[in-house]
Amino acid sequence: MKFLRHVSCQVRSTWRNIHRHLAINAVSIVTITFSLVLFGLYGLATGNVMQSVSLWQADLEMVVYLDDDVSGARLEELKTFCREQHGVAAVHYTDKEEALKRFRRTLGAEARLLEGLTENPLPASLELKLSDALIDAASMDDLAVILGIRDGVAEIRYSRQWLAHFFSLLRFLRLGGMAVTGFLFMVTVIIVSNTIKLSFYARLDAIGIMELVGATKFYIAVPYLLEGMFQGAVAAVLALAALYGLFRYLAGWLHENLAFLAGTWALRFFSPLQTAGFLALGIMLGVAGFLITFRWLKSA
Amino acid sequence: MIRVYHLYKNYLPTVMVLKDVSFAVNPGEFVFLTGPSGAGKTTLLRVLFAAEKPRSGQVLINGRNITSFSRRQIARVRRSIGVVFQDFKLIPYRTVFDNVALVLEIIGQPRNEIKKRVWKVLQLVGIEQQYNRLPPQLSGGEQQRVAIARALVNNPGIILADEPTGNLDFEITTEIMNIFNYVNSQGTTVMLATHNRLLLETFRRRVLHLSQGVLSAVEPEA
Repeated sequence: MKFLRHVSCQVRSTWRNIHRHLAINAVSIVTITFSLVLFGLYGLATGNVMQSVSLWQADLEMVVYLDDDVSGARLEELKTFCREQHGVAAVHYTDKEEALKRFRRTLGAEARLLEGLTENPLPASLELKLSDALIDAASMDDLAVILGIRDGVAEIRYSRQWLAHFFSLLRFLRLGGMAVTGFLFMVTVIIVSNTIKLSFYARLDAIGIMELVGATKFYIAVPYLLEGMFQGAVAAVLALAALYGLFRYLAGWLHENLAFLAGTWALRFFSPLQTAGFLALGIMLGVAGFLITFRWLKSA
Repeated sequence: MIRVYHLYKNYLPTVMVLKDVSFAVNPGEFVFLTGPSGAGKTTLLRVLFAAEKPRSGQVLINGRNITSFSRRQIARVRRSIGVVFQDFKLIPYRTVFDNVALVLEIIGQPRNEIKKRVWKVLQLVGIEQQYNRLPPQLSGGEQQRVAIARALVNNPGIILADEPTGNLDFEITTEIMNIFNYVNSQGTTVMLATHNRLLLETFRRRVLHLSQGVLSAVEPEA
């Protein structure tokens, strides 16, 4: 009961502090909002790039061209062997006739060029759909070597060069993302802690008086903790609104100006869970900033 | 209730502010602490409510030596002592009511109880009409009454007052001294620092006289 009274008293005190120091609070909220917008922009950019990357990754495949004399039991054995390989999600067999049909479809009006052919020059093939487990070019090279030495395999094709770039980009995004995220987090915490310190300085006399009449450092600090959490939460809501506006604008612009690339990306705003996480992050930033300041207050 | 043994306090290595001060104040007693400016009155009071740490010596409040207390223990002991500061030390952006209520909020009193007790003490010091005003809107005498109300609201066993009538005219001084006399008559120990001879002569009580940090005379109550 006494604890609840303390909490209600601290909440009232926090609310009073916020009202009395609107300017300092507004500065803090704007600063945190700005940091969170930067943070969110980075999150949205990497999230959407990763999302598009997964789409491209879903299209990754390796084509195993077969010798013309492969059929029956040998073909089944090769299919089974391919399916058993790590990173192979599905295997589709395309026989010579199917390959020719596809080629005709690809040529379209020019398909008449094929009319003079006496025999089908296209080989049968096994098209391997690759899973997320096969995430780098070296693993694909290994798989190609393993498959390439099997009897009945004529040739293996996959885009080695493109894949190398693709996987480097993935690595860069993941490592760079962690570094940038860490850096932004640190910067934001320092900004929040400094704005809370400003707030402390503005009320240093009052804090001294509270100590003289029997308040503990913890009692004095709690409204600042709540204030930090409030600032973080409000800033997170504002940042989310700003990010959503920016996202809608950019998505509209991309669809209007780069419509031809529409199939290659899937733009998405934060999911409800990510939105909740973003709000929690704002509050955590407020708490982290406060904790740094509290250490300073304890030693003051 | 207050026992001080061989108390030494210095601010700089060579500037000794209190030298071998020893005295006792009994429960329910009213004692004047007097001496010229710079004699160490304020420092002695600050040591008594643990705002200053002595260099050596012991300070016993209600039988407990506060010189070795942790910060949390110091906060607790301060709640049992009402302090009236010469410069009032009121929070400028809290109303009269909220300044007085602060002490009760700190100890987690229920809101209704806080309202009741604050109102009662504001009436006692005669400042209830100003309950919703901010300290800068009050006169010196009114601010001092608020500071006294804050010191009294928790019914402390000890009141320490540092020059509470320092800048006030004699009429208001008398009114304020009457408040201290009243709380003393209710059993509260009062230790009041002043260098006002007229006050000492008007309100005859035991006097502890400090001079250059030394307790030079302990005059018995007349």
